[in-house]
Amino acid sequence: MKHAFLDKYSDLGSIIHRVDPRVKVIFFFVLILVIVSTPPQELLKFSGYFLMLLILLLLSRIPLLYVFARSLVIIPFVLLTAIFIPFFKGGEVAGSYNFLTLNLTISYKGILIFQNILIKSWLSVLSLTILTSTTKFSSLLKALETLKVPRVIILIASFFYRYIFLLIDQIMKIKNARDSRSFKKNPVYQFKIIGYMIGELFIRTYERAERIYLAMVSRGFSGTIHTLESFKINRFDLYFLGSLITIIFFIRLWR
Amino acid sequence: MDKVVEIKNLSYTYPDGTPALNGVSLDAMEGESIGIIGPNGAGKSTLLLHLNGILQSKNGAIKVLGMPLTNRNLRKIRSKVCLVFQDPEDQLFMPTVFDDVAFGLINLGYHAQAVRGKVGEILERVDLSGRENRSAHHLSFGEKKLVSLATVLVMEPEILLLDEPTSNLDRKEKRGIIKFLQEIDKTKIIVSHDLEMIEQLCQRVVVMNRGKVVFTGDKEILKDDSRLKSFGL
Ligand SMILES: Nc1ncnc2c1ncn2[C@@H]1O[C@H](COP(=O)(O)OP(=O)(O)OP(=O)(O)O)[C@@H](O)[C@H]1O
Ligand SMILES: [Mg+2]
Repeated sequence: MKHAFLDKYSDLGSIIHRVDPRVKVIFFFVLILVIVSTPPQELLKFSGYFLMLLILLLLSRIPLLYVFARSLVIIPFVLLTAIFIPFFKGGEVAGSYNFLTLNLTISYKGILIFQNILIKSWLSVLSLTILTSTTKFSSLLKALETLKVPRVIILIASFFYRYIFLLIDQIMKIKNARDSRSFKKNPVYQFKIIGYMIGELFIRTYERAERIYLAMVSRGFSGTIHTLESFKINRFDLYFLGSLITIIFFIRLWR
Repeated sequence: MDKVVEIKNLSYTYPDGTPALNGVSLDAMEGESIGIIGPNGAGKSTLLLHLNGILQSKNGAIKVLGMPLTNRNLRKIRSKVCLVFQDPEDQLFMPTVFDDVAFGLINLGYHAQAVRGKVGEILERVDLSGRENRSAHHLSFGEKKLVSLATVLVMEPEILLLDEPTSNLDRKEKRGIIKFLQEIDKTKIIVSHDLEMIEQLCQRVVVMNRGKVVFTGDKEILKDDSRLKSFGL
């Protein structure tokens, strides 16, 4: 079955794609730190970061719409957690509403914090979207590995990437099997079926994990997974890292 | 010729109480290809899992390449006896084809340069050069099967254990696999329902039924339909 892959445009091969994955990881990491540490009222600086990301995006030749759509995925989560902040923050009142018996006041400070969270999280997700769409997932994992991210995390991510599509397939198969045999619309009955489906999925996944482990053991696995590193940093990578980091810090520190 | 595998009176019951093997005895000579056939649930896969120590039974004795199969010999035996699982999804667990093929070699302690060389060589042999950086889920089923074979062959095993190497393949992919296996002159033990493939690859056929070996002999048996039927096939 076909799926939208996590790293759909990572085969494109633009300048940005060819930058050493480690360099990209470091760059985007620094960028996110800088974005997060920028004071909330400096909208111009945020526009600066955005402009920079936009230029990187254009250089990478990934469809803009795709990246923006992807980056918006995070917004509902942010909204859900941050929506109440404007109501709780004290300070100068921006407006107050009487809603039935509730008296709601919104403060300027609260709005600022809300806007701050929204902008920062969106820019950060946009950065990560660019990183993951210009880097193959396997290279990303290797980059993280060479940057000393704990092995367990890398392994979990790597198995996740390898088997998530299979898991989705399995869910589809079980679902098809159900749909082709069950006709009752009774919700209690449906819940029962879903319970069975989850159980079935759990057993299949468990059994697969066991078979994979056996396959690993029969090829000499003894507790740690080793892979070969195959990165070479060239001069362009250093220019890329150096100049972009300079620009970010320039934007951040300029007053 | 030397006996490379000696199984004597092996019995095995799964932890949940399912009896799977019941007094199996079988020998394999060096360089020989043996086909194991038998109805579903006969215990064929279970037998293969014993041959590189994934399953270990207290009843019966197994000797591989002259070594008794004990925990002390396990590492050595596993580097010489390699098993290819039926489902390539179980066999390919690394993020890229290269990493998957390199996995066993790195565990055997080869140096980076040697690993690259060997991986390149084997992928060329299965006609998959240039796919090194693909992820397994971007490959066709036939390609996955070939890569799973490559992951094991690259370790240059003395004995190759194959569980259903041709299941779910189309005719062309099947021919490719058979041709490739014909070129390998190692000892092969092949479990399959694909009698046509067994006929082309094996000299000797073993028929199993309900955890027992019910026939061992020449592959002529494959043409004798009524006898196969009497074995539950
Ligand atoms: N992990 C397990 N736990 C319990 N019982 C098992 C397990 N694996 C297999 N069995 C049982 O052991 C018996 C032998 O199974 P085995 O998989 O070896 O058969 P097989 O000959 O390979 O069959 P097939 O042709 O269907 O692959 C069967 O009755 C099966 O149900
Ligand atoms: Mg089987």
